[in-house]
Amino acid sequence: MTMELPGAGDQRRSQLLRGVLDLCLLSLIAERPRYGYEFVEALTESGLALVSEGSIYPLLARMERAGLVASYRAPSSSGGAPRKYYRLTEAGRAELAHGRAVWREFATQAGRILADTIDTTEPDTPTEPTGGTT
Amino acid sequence: MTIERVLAVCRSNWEYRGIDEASVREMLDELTAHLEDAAAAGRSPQDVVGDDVPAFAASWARARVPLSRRLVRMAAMVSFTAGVLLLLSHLTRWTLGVGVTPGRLAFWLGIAVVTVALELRRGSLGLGKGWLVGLVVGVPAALATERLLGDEPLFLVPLWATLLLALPGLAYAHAERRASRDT
Repeated sequence: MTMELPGAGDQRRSQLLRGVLDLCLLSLIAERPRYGYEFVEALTESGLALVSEGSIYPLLARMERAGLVASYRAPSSSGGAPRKYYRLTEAGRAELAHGRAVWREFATQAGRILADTIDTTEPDTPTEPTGGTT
Repeated sequence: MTIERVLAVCRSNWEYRGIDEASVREMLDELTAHLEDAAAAGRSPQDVVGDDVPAFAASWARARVPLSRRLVRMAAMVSFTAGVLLLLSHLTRWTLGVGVTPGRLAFWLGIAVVTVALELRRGSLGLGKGWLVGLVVGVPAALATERLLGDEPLFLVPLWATLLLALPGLAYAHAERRASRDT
C-alpha cells in the first residue's frame, strides 16, 4: 500500500509551478505591463496560487538584470502610490516564444507517459494457489 | 509578524548585503505596496514573504545586485565605519596617532558582530538597544581581552590612514546622493 504524505500533492504543484514561474510571469507581462501584486492576482485567478507570493520579486529582479523585462513607475490603476510596472523587452519576447515551444514539447512528452492508459485504481489481486497441503 | 517588522528586517538585510540606497528604497516601496494590497485582501505578511524573512530578503538581494558589486560596497562601508570610529578617537584624544589595543579591538568587534547578527534577524536595533549591546557585549569583551592580552597597543593608526579608510565610503555616499538627486 502506498501512503501519500500529507500535502504531497500541493508540494508537487508548487515544484511544477516553480519550474515554469518565469514563463508564466513573462506571459502575463506580454498581455500588458503589470506590477508585483497584479501577477499574484492573475496567477491565483488561474488556480496557480504561490506558497510565498514574494518569491516573484527575486525572479523579476533576475529577469530585469538579464534584460528580459524593463520597469517603470506609474500611478496604480487602483489608486494609491505609484507602482513599479514591468514590461516585456524584445529579448523577453524571444525568451517567451522559446520557452512556450519548450513547454509545449515537454508537456506533450510527459503527457504521453503519464496518460492514464492503464487502470491503476484497482489493486492487483494475487491469485490464490490451487490445491495445497492437507 | 507585522508589516513594519518585515520591512525593518528586509531593510537591514539589504543594507548589510551591500545594496545601494536608491535600490533599497525602490525595493521597500515595492514590497510595502504588495504587503498593503495583501493585507487589504485579508492575507498576512507571512503569506507574502514566507516564514523566513531574512532568507526572502537575501534571495531578493542576490537576484537584484551581483555579489561582486555588493562586496565592493560592503568593504567600502566597513572601511568607512572603521575610519569614523578612529577619527573620533583622534579628535577626543587630540592626537595624530591612535594606538589600537586588544581591548578596544574586542570592544568594537564584539559590538559589530552581535549588532549585525541581531539586526539581520530583527531589523534595526535603534539607539537604546544599541547602547545595551555595547554595555552587555562590548564592555565585557574589552575587559576580558585586556585581562588576557594586556593593554599594550597592537598597532598605531596615523591620521592619514584614518582619513584614507573613510574615503571610499564617502565617495560611495556622494555618488549615491547624486544618483538619487538625478532620479
